[in-house]
Amino acid sequence: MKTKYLTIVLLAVSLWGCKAQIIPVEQHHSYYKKNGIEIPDGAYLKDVNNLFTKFLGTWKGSYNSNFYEFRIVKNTKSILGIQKDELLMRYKITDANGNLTENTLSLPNDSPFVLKSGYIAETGSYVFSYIGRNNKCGQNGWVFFNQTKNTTNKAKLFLSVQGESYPICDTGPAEQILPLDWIGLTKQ
Amino acid sequence: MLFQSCEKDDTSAQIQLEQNEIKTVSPENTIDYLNSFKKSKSKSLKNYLVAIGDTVSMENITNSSEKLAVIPVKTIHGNFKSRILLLEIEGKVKSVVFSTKTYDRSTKNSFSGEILITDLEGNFIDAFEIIEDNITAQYLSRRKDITANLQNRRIADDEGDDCGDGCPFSVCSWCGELETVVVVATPSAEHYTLSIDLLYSQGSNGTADGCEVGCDNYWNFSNDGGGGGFTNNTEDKIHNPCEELKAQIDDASYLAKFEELNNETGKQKETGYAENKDGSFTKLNPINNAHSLSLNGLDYKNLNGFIHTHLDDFETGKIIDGRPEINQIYRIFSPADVIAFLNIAKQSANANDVYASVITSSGDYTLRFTGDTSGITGLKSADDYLELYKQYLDRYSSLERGFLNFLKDHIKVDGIQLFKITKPLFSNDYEVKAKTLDDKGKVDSQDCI
Repeated sequence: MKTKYLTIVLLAVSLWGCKAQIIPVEQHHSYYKKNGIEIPDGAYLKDVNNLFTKFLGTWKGSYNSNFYEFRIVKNTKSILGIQKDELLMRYKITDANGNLTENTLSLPNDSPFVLKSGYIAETGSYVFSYIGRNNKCGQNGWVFFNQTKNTTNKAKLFLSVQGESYPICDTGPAEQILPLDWIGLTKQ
Repeated sequence: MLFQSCEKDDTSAQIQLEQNEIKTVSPENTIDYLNSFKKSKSKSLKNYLVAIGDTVSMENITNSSEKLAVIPVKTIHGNFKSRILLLEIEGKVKSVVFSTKTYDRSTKNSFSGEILITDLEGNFIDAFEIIEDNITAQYLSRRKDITANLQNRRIADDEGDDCGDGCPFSVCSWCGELETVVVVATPSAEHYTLSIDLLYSQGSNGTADGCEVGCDNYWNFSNDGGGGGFTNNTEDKIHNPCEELKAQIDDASYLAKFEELNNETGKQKETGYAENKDGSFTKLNPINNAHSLSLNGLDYKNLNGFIHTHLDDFETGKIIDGRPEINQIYRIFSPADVIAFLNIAKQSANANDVYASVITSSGDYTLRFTGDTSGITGLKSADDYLELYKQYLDRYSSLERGFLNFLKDHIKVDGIQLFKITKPLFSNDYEVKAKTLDDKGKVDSQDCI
């Protein structure tokens, strides 16, 4: 209720022609895109309701004998005349023998292998766009990250594969290295 | 000086005047003129001229030593034989498209049929019907204050066109737009000749006097080279992608795949076909959970294009508090589709025939290539495009706007043309719309008529 009230107030304030129109970031998909309403130039899709906070931090879990570490931070980006708050996710995967499968933890924000371009789904999950290092052979899709209700240190995620393959791929469909089913995660 | 010649010999003075007023456009200048016209039209979608021959014929004009430059062309009116006529009149190069439709009753010496004269863009200039060498009716653009229906009681239309009552002229696109003027003082079109005045200035708008130039200079239009002077090798096509799209949706084997795939968009698997150069279709294999199709292993040189579905958003099967997690899908070409399309175009012997179609439940789209294949260059890796693509498609409420801006800002290859194909409610016919960006970056839709 409180959140809705706050949203209405903020919307009302923003409708009074503030220079930077502030739109709660969770409304991008659930309201604007869904109803075909244009986001005006100069708008700021902002996490005014602090929905991002619960996702932030380092999360660890294991799946199919592989160990996963995910790190989520908040970022504000400028794109096509608007500003937008978003989450970025980096990861490290080691196998049962301790060998490194993949590590994107030190990559810069603009690397395609840092998950981004996400949105808050109606389920409350944050959905990241995923591009793997073998993107050209199908390591791409959406990663659903759900922070467990009534906890602060539990979460889960899985990858829904899109699998688009590019002409340059000459090795056949790539193996997926992110979990295809929910992996349980604990905050560090 | 002139006075003296006038007194001595009237005819020769008149010829002298005429000769100064009309002048030959040389073959070189003709080709330059047409090349610069072609260049200006290269990005247009609905060209009136569909092909231009590459031979210039310099033809005689009576009562003059100047020549008329004649070039065979094809227009969108397939039932007319057409030529471009170039002549310098009063210091300016003038061009018209001269089109003829010959009635069966024509003989070698006497012409019966229709004449249509337009500018190079297909704008109406003049038209008339000729019966046995006499111009019996001239059609002029209807003045705005005339609202009467077009009626033509005196012209026998031997050819029986399909334009319906009250439309005497077989080019139906101007039905209702033309007013018939029944010509009283019949200008002669004897033995297949027409005057320069009639060719370029509507015969002084149908008035008997007022002819300024070319009144007594005639051109014989019977020399049409029997087929317009085209051979398969010398034809120089001006691309008309609108016409090609309409022809494609009419083609039975493409239409069959188009309609089949329209029933598949709600499924859990993508389906699609590659079209081979011989017109046959090869089914594409689903990969990666069947949410994508593979074009790998196909010989791109041998492909015309491909047609495939993009699915509706689907449930992943994961549920949170009774609500499904939904995998969203963009119902327009992906960067992978665009790159595959450009690869096929680049390797094709005829890039103008290459296409990619995506069938979705919110719209069917086709890409065509109308540019220069040498411009298909500088493409970045797939990794670089996917993120930008998603940002562009998320930014606007219209997928078309996001997609076209993404192409413009990041793919940066000239000549990728987007079309949308729809079937209006209660209609049996498909409509094709060309989608481009206006200078504000918004989507402009143009009907392909």
